[in-house]
Amino acid sequence: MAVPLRVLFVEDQETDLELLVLELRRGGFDVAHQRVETPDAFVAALDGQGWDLILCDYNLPHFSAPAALALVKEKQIDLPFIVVSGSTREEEAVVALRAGAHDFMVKSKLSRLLPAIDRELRDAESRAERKKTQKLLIVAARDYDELQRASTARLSLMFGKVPVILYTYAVEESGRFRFTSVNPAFLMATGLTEDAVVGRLVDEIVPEPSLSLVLGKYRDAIRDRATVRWIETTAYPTGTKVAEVTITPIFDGAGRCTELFGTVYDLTEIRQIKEELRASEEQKEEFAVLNRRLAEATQAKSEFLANMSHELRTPLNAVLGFSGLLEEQLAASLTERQLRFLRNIRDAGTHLLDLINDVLDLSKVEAGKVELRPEIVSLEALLEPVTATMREAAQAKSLTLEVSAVTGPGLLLDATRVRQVLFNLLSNAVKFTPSGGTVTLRASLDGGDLLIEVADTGIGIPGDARDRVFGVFQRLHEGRVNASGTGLGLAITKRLVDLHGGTITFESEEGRGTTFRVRLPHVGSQPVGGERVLLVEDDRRDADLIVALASSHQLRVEVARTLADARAALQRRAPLGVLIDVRLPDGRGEELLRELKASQATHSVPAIVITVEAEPVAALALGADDYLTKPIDRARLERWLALVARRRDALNSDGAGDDAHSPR
Amino acid sequence: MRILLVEDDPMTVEFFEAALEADGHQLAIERDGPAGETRALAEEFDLILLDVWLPERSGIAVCRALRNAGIQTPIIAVSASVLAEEVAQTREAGFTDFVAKPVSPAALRAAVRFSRPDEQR
Repeated sequence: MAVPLRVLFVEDQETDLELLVLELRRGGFDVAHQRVETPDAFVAALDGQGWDLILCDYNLPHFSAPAALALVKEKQIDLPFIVVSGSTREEEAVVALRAGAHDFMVKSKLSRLLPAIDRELRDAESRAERKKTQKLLIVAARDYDELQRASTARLSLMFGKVPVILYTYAVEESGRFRFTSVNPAFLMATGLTEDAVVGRLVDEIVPEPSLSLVLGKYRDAIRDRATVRWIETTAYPTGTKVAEVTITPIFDGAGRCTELFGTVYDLTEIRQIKEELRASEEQKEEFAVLNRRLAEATQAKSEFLANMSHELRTPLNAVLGFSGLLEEQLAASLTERQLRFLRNIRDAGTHLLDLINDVLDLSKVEAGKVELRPEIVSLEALLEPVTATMREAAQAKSLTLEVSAVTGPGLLLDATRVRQVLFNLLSNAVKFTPSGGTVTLRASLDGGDLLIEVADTGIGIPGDARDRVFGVFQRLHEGRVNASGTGLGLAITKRLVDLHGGTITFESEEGRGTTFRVRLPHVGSQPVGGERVLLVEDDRRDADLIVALASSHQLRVEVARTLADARAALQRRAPLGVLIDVRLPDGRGEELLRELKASQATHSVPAIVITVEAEPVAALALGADDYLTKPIDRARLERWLALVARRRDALNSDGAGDDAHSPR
Repeated sequence: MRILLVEDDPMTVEFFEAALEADGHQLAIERDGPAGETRALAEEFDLILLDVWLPERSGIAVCRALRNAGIQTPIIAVSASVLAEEVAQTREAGFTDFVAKPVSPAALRAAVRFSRPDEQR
């Protein structure tokens, strides 16, 4: 297969050219060629095509091989250049080869031409290859230089900026260490100038006892051929620093240590932070221990008070019991004064009992032992027992008690505890309001919050006592006889309000009166729906038990204490179930049961009666599901509550289904 | 009413006797748990007043034993401890009612009077 070959001929004889082309074709080349015979044409041809080879006659009328070679050189063109001369003069060959020709031959002896061309093409190729490699090497070297320059710049930037002390030593033949460079951090810490350090021996800069230490470490590093690190406390002019020091030996090709590279990393701040952390950690532990001890102490106090309460009640029982008996039996025969003595014993005993109760109550709240038992109760039912008691107390002191309360939907709260709050506030108001005054109780709903306001026209709270209002055993009225109070009522009140997540505030003007305001959040307008069980029961203790059991079935209970309350509750909304005590203050439970079963709205509501009768035939005949005899059988009650809970779940899922299928 | 009082505190015994006898009741007295239990099983009473904290056997245990033995007599717990959990315990044990010490003579009589199913309030 013919090898393409582009040849530039510098030749004036057309016949010679043809001869040469023939010879090339004979050698298997597919020759493309151009012939020039003047320098201008030659230069133009060189600038034009990429030639593989130049075949040049030695002597032309207006040109010559040396002149052509000079032009090639000038143009820095590397092409195989073979001189084909008409003469055999040796000096021509010498001149041509000196001028850069690759070969020289005479036209009469062309046998060498083809091998020469082969050789020269190969040589040119490898020359081009070499050149390319060289070029790449040059570029690489340039890049490397640049990189090194940049990294040196970066290194020196780091060296200058990094807040770590850096320095280098030259290790001299004698084994001495001479500073060769130090960074600004070094100078900053030592307070020295660069001139004062660089070029000096370590002995001149580092004082004893540090010197002996560091020299030892340097020798270790060189001996072990490894970085040595240690922690050092050094007194710098800028202060004593704890630092981590490292020294790294640098070795030359012969394995001799020529340099040391040192760093000093200041640990003072880290130490301080660690110290602080440890201190705060210790403090936290101390707090935890204190907290635990406090909890234990509170627990111990609470247990102690419970025991003490028990121990005090037994003798008090005798004090109150016997004084009561004496008063009963001797009332007719004693003088007024002797009777007063007896009543004093009884009153003091009662006061002591109040104190015991309040202390116990307070300690229970403080120990977190008071659990709220929320039940659904109407505002009227909540207030009624308190206002009934307080109305009597107010009348006894010739005070007016005004009550204004909205009628509204059920409230969800611990009625017993909220009544305790009301009772404390109202009895204080009555206590500190002189005869003829007025005590006002207002209860209203603000969104879901219950607002209670107890205002009096009493003596007011002295300005300097206002900070202590909710404290323990605080007597706000110095010199005033206050035998009826325990000094704990407001403290308990505050804690009970807190327990409900509420707030209590007051305003007072001496001689004009005091107003306490309580806000209990999210208790009103409960989305009761059918979601409650109605308990008609006047016995507080039975009611508490039932409320507690019901809450374990996620059932809310509305407690009605009378038939009248129960009727009102049924009117509002049909309950999930009804528990009815047969004996009620205003009538028999069977009446309510009969009404329940007769009404279209409530006839399917499950009902259970609570009775002391062995078998309440009448109630069962009226449609009660079951009955509970007192004392209440928990298992039987639980069975019924479970039934009610199932009914609720069934009602709820039905309701959800209806909604889902609702077309609009 | 024939009443069994099981109580170890002598003063409480004397007080209860005085208060209840004035109302026409007759009292039998036992001073510890086992004795009270034996007596309650041996004789018929209209009411049992049972102290919760008794020597040797607690009132709770005695009450439970009596109920298990089929005794239907109303039993009132008498205790100086008024902690809610203890009150709940007495109700579970089968007590009919709970009287907290100290109690006034009038309140004691009222509790006794209301202990009978046939008594209306």
